[in-house]
Amino acid sequence: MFKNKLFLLLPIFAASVFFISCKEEDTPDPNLTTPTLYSRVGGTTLVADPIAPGTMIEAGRLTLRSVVDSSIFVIAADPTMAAFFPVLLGEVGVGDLSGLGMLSDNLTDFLCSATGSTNPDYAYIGLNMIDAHDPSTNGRMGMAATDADFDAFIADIAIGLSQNGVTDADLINDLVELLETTRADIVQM
Amino acid sequence: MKRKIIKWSIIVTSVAAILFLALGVHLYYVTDNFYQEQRAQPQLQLGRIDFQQPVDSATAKIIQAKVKSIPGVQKTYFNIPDKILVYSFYNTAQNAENIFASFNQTNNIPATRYVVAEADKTKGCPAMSDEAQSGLILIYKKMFSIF
Repeated sequence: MFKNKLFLLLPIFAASVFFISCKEEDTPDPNLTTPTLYSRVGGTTLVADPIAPGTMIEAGRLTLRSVVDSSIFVIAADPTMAAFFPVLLGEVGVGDLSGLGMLSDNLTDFLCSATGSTNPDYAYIGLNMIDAHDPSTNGRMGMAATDADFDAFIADIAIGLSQNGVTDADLINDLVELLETTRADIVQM
Repeated sequence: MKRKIIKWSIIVTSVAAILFLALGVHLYYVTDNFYQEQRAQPQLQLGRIDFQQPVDSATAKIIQAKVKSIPGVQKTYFNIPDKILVYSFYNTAQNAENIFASFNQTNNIPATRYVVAEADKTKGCPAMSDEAQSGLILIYKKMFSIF
């Protein structure tokens, strides 16, 4: 009697194994198969920081900082964008902080956080995108951004990417897609 | 019993106040040092020259080479369609006025140095604003970026 019951359970067990194994194939572990954008641009591997001899930096941050620094040049030379970043071209004397250094740090922090960096030193701790780009809640925002302004910003970042040898179309598309997720919050006109 | 409670309350409150004060002094010392160190370092900054007539890519390369050869200039970028040149330099080694004057000695194309209006210096990308960060978070960030 007991053996008969076991015999009946056997097909159920086999079916369970089949479905479980199928389920694992259908829903792969995202951590194993989908690397973050941050890891795709270099990740957490420590490398020597070319602008700070003797210090190390995560390769992902180094890539993003290089892109930001190149893009800042493009933005500063873009008449559409210059209206939003006048402080970039404002001169400071010895003993004061320049807009270039501050913008580089903060935009790099923002991109590190947005692409999936988990390093607390690289965390973006600024205002949320809506409040940050609303002239009524942020005095530094002289005027609201339009879709055309945002398009110009994306185009400038794309030039920054190409200047740093980021030519992988998938990677560029994913980075641009990431920036596009902020459009609705940034464009307020 | 009541006196004992009061005595311990005073002790606990005093210890908490001393610890809070010590934390405040520590935060002030650390963050103040951080900013002083930052300000003492040479600051990379940007300058811009606007050209009044079209510039082709060959001429743009020559102009970039000229500007780059000026002592203190680090990098250049030319936006050819908009006739705008941007260059970087360390404020301990150069200033934009000198760079423009040096460049103009050999330049034949009408150009002007872009100067930001005083009122506009307070504007900029909101991500740059320290006001955009809550004071305590900013202090902690700076504190932990040192250690």
